[in-house]
Amino acid sequence: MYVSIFHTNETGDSEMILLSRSEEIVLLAIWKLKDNAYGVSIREQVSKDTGHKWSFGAIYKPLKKLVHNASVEKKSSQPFAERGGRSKYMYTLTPAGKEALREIRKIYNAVWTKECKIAFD
Amino acid sequence: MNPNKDTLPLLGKAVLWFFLDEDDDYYQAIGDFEEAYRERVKIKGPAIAKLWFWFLLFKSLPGFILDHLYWRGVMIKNYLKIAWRNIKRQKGYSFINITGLAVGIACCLFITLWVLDELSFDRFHKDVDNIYQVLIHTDVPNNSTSPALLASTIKEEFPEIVEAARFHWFFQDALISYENKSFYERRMRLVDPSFFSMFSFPFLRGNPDTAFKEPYSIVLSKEAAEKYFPDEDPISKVLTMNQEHELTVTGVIDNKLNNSTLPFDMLMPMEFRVLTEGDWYTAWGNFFVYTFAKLRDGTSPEALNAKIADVVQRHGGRKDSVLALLPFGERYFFFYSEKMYIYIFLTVAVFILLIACFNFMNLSTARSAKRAKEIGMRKIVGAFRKHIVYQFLGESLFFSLTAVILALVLVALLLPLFNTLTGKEIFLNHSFILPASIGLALFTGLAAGSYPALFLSAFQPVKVLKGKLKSGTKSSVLRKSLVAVQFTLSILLIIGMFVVYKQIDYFQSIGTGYDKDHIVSIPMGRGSEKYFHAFKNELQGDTRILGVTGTAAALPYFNWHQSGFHWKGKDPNKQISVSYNAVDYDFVETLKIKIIDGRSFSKEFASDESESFLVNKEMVKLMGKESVVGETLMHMDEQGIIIGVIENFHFQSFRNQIEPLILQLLPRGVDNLLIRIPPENVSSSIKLIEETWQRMIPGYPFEYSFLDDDFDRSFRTMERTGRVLNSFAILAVIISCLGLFGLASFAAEERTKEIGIRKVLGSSASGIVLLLTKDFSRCILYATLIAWPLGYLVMNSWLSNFAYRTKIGFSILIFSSALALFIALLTISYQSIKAALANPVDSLRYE
Repeated sequence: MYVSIFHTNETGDSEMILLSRSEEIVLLAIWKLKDNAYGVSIREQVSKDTGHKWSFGAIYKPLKKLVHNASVEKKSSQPFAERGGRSKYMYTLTPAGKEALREIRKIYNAVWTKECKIAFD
Repeated sequence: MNPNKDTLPLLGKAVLWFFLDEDDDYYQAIGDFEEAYRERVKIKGPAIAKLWFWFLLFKSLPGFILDHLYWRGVMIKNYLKIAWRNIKRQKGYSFINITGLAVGIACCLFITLWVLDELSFDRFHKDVDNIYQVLIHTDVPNNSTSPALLASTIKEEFPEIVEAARFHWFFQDALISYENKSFYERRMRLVDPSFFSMFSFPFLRGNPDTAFKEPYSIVLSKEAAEKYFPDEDPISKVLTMNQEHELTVTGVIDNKLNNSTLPFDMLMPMEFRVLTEGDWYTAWGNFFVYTFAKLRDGTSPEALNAKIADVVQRHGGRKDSVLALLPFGERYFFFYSEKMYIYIFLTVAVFILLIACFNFMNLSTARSAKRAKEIGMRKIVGAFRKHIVYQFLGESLFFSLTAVILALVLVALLLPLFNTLTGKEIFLNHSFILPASIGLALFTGLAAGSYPALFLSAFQPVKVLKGKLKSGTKSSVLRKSLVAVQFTLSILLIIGMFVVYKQIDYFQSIGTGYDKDHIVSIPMGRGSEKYFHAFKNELQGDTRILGVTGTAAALPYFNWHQSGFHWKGKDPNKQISVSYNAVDYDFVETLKIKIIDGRSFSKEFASDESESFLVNKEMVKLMGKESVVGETLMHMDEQGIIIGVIENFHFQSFRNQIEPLILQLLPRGVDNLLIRIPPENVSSSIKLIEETWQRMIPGYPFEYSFLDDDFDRSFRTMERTGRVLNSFAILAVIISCLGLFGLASFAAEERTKEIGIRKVLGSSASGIVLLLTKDFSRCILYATLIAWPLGYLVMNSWLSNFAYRTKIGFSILIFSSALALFIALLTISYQSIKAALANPVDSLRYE
């Protein structure tokens, strides 16, 4: 399911971002992890949140999309020994990402009226 | 252990590398996997961790693949656009590439169709894997004929054999009439009723189970049914055989649908033969029917073979006979064709495809400079080598796919021509054509595209963008080697073509041993032989006839073996079969066979009629005596005297040595007439014979052929093979030359400035032409060095199949190379002369 949100960029043009459900889950996981969001931790967080195991392949796909539409930023860290001497690729939320989450929340509140919540809880 | 080292399985890393497009993604994934894996190792130990790793990796694959496809989709549009622009910009090269590939692929498709047709013989029978033919080895191995009682005997004696059937034929053409139509039928066969339950010949009309309930039944092929009953239902109609027997049509079989080694126009029940000719079939000593046996499922043919080996001996047949089972599916290659031709043609197909692929590789790498800048730009804006490889592989796949479509059109258009060339009736089998074309497209696309893709993707963007990239010596060496390989293959094919033709020529030149020209051969139907002597007398007086004679078994090829001949000095326990034929007076004279010793049959000696033999030189050799004239030959309880020795002449295929031959007179009249006519006025001689025939032998159709035509017919398979090889060799040369043309024009273009400078400094036009052709001529020289020994070895082993064979000879080798060189130079000359004659001012201004 795709939720469409409109957000405004620096030039003031309105542009549409498409967020899929998996992108939303991954985006929230990144926010929760604050400064420690990278592949392994995101996978653990997402698995904990949803209650079933995600594969790496399943989180890389939304991550790449999120980077592409500028909801998150990707930076490499210093190398770590436990990664075989490789860097971590750290993800942080951008203002646009935060805006996207806020928009999503708004739409959910609008769509999920009180009656719906009672009926499905 | 170095903590900075990866601990992941190497194969797992390779899988990740393969699926992750960008280095960034790959490093991230491998880091993540590594970290998670090490954590697992600490908790659960390495074995479980490894399992877990593979599990996680495979779970990730769908995600990787989807991701890959999503991001690639954006680029594919761009690649297609660039590829299309390149094709349009370089029309000549694109044309050469695509036509070369298309012709190559079309050849491959044709050859595969041919091979499939060869392999399809007899495969349409449902039980083909359980059916065997019973062969008998005596002093002659692999006799296909056996005693008539064998079939019923083995079926009774061995429970492993569930069904046995005989296949037999008439020794003369039968005259079949319906109302006012009569024809000689050559392919009339006699079979047991079980024949239809054993083999799966498709009945169009009638019931295979009941077709041969009555002995006077007949089953027709579709063609025969259409010949006699063009607009009627043939079932229950009555045909007359030899103006004597009335046969009811009980079935029609479509035998054109499948390739069969048991061809027939009409089938009749074996029972008919027994009723009309008595118990001729009870002797165990005579071999004259084919015996087929169907084994129970799961029976081991080897074990059964050992058990049945002595059946004929046990029942009082030849003491030296040993039975053997030949799988029915292998019958075609055992008796009629050779697997060797399949290998030869498959090799040719691979050769042609390789030549076409090499063209593609050469032209793409040669033109690489034109695309160097594009590759540089792509790399600078972020393309990795992998992407360039994909792009060029994709482009070559696009080329090969276009070529395959063109090839399919070619195949569809040229199939009738191919059928006349090969003498086959091949249809386009769609269940084969589709997968084969897709397979060929993929194969040629990947094979031809892999080298250019790897070569082009290795360009360094800095170097490329700084200046024009000259194609290096390394790649030009490779290009030249590929040209050399192309011409090696072409020269090999040319050598093959010449040797096959020389062999055919040799066969025709060694001749038959008699004068086969201007001899009319006429079959005499059963019952008409009584008119022979009167007919001969009538004709002999005329000047338009030079000689009249005849034989029992028809020339030019007969296969009639007799055993049981004895002579003084022969080991009485040794059984020997020799070739045998019965002839009329004047046989030796009419055919102009040389008499070496003694005399020919003559009416002056009354005893000649029953007590005289003529033998050939081979027979003298067999008897092991200096002179055999006057010797007595015994056969069963008869005996006679050898009155003369004749020169060996060919009466069997040239594949075999000439066998010992005994000739005897046939006083009752002959079954095949041979009439020598003068070379001038052939048609008036034929007219005379026909008129005399119609006057004296009414009711029998007059059908004639020329002996030399019949003789040449036996070369047809080989001639066809030669012609097919010929066409493919020519195509191979054309495809090679297409590539060479492209390369030559490229070389001329690349050296435009050099040529200009040389001309300004005083070089002559011929000097320039020489300069440009030198390189390619050298390639062909190298090709020659490889092709000669290879071609010699291969063709020598082919020739060793023949008892009478030509020598390959140096001239064929030289001529093959000279031909290749000539054609190649012709191809190059256009481009080099154009370059050499160009105005140096233009050449120097170029670029």
